[in-house]
Amino acid sequence: MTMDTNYQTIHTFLQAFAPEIGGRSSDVVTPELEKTIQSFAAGELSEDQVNELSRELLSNENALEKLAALLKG
Amino acid sequence: MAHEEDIALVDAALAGDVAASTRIRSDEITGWLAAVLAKRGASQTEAQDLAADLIADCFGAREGKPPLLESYNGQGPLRGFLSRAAINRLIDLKRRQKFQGNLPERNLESGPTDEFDLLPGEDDAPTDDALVALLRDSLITAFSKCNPRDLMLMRLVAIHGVRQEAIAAMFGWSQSKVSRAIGGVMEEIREKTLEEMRKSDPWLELEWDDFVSLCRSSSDFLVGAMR
Repeated sequence: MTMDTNYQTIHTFLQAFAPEIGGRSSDVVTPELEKTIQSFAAGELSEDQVNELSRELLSNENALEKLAALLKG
Repeated sequence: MAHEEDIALVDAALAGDVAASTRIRSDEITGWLAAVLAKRGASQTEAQDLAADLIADCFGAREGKPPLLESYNGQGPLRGFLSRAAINRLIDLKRRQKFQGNLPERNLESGPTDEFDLLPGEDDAPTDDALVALLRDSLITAFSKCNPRDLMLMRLVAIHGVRQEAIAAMFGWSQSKVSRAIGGVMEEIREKTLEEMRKSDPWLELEWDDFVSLCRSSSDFLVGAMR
């Protein structure tokens, strides 16, 4: 099994049995959060800001999708 | 993905087809199940007894309980379903054994939440899937100890399909640095998850591939569409 496949399996499991860890897709993305995500994608955040945002994105699937969309252009 | 052949076999066995039921009750299947259990920490006797009981329960041998096979939804192979059920029973057995010969003292002043009071009675049906709880709790603790930034990068790449080059550009990193961060956090997840599992159930012998496979079968059988 590849690393990505293993992670995908774990992610699917956590979404089902521990959505607070696997990320909920029902969470709101506030305008402020969206602005922070855009700054992140532009490489404008400090290391501490990145760590703080990372924690938030891990539990907010909608927000993480927005970042992914920005990075995929 | 539905496993049509296994679904057909189970349906036939439940309908009373002798050939189908003989196949499931065969020494080959029972022996294989016992080997699965022995590999994961059961003694030879425990493995044989649990395997035999499980196969009997597949056809509803115990009063008042429906055949276990009725809960097979075909979302994974039948062997995956049986091995998962067997390991669940092994966990339950080992946890009950923890109190045998070393029962905590009955203290009338203690609250109702001491360990012995929480132990379910023999006739109580388990309300939680012990295996799912073990997998989930081990992963939750492991994830809480990992670097959140690297966990996020892992998810962006593995789940959302973001290229590592895009992440490297965002951070001003080389691609190899991104790759190391992702590889590092996956190794951290593996180490810390197995460590947590051993703390909880030190007798359970699971390799990482086993652990991931059990996560997959849990998702398949407990979350998959009903037939």
